[in-house]
Amino acid sequence: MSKTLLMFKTFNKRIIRRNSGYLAFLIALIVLLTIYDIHNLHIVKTLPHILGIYIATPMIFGVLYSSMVASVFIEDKSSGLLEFLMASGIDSKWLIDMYIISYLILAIPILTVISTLFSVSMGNPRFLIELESNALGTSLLIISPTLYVSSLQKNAGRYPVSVYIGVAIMFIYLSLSNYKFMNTAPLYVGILLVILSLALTLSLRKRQRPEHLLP
Amino acid sequence: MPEIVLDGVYTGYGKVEVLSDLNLKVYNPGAYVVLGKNGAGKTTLLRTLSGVLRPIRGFVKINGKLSFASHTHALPQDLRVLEALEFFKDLIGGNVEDVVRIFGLNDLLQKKISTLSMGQKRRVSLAKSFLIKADVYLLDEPTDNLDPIWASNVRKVVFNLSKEKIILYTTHNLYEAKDLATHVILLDKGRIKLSTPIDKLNTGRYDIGIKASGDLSKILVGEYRGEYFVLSVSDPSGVNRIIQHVTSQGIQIYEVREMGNPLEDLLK
Repeated sequence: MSKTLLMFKTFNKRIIRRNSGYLAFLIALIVLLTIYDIHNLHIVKTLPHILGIYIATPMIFGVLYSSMVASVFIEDKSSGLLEFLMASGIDSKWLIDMYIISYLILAIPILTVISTLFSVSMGNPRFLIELESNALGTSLLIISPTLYVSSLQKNAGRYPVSVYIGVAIMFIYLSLSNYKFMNTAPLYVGILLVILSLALTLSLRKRQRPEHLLP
Repeated sequence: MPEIVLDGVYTGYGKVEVLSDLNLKVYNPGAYVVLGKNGAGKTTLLRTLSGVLRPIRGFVKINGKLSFASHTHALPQDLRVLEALEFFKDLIGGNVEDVVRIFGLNDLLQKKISTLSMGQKRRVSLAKSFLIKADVYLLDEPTDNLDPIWASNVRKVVFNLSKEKIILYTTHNLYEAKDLATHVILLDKGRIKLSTPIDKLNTGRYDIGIKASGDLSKILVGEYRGEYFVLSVSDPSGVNRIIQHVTSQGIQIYEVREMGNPLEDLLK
């Protein structure tokens, strides 16, 4: 088994074990919100700005799931597990990549399913790409700074500032999504978001130093 | 041949310099016990040697495969012991059966790590660090939280390894350090104050405790500490003369042992 696959498998096993109740709540919430959104489709279709409404469900998933990933990361940092892995010759940047990849491996299919459901319900295939690019961009925009800020916190368990980053990004995005420009060119906004979030991820990755991962 | 070389090393965290101008050469196998007060830089030294911390200046060289045991448990709490050891084996290599036997983990294998006691977690933590057969072992307070039996077992493991490998071992337990050390490295305020074979440490004063059948305070100058009558000599060969003197008085000697620890003076 490759190291990446091993890390992903172990990571998700841990996520499920430590957050089984929270995870069940999250899935139930996303399913209910999706059903609610589809049910209200006939009303929503008459509104000029629909991106802000449909992006909310995938974003809530991104924020809540990123908080679970951050909690595992914070524990691994404070328990010295990351220190041990680095001392065993594993690169610190690769370790951070593993958390982001593990997050995205679960996030992307779920976001795709939600986006597909919405676009099928609207009878507009273009909406799938528009929604998916926006959801993916914001998810990556949430997880990267969340992990980076967690790594800078000395007592992250006591006051997990990083978890609120996702909430702040979500509210900023939802506020902006009511503006006309967000809805006239949602695909461009989505692509821009993906590029911006990738640039941010690479930039934070570059700034990450091994001592940030020490307990 | 395994070796450790530190040449003019300065290191720390961000802009905070913790260790300054470290120079150390270790070529021979042995137990090199690193001593120092809290904050002296023992953990930082091991982190620098392990490669986790990069030196700000200077040069670090380690020849040979390295194993590191931090003073934290460094375990994934949500996994069972066997799952965790298999995870580490897949990631860094090694043999799970060997460490399970050495650290007596058979009864714990199916238990979740978060449910273990601190001492049990320490054993699992050490097991993961001993998975690979290394040339250089960096052990940061490895007997912390262990009961006396397991602390003694771990010391035996370390002692046996030290015949062929280089072991750098930090501890606050000076009796453990004295039992185990072939060399002592003393850190003080981020600098290496002393690095010497332990048998070269000579404080010029030895506290000897004698357990005997009679009251020794009537015939020797010293004081009782519990069952032992403790007196000081400047030369260990003086003990023979004292024993002869005591037995000539018709007092039977049950035990003679060194009460003081020369390492205590180093930390004062």
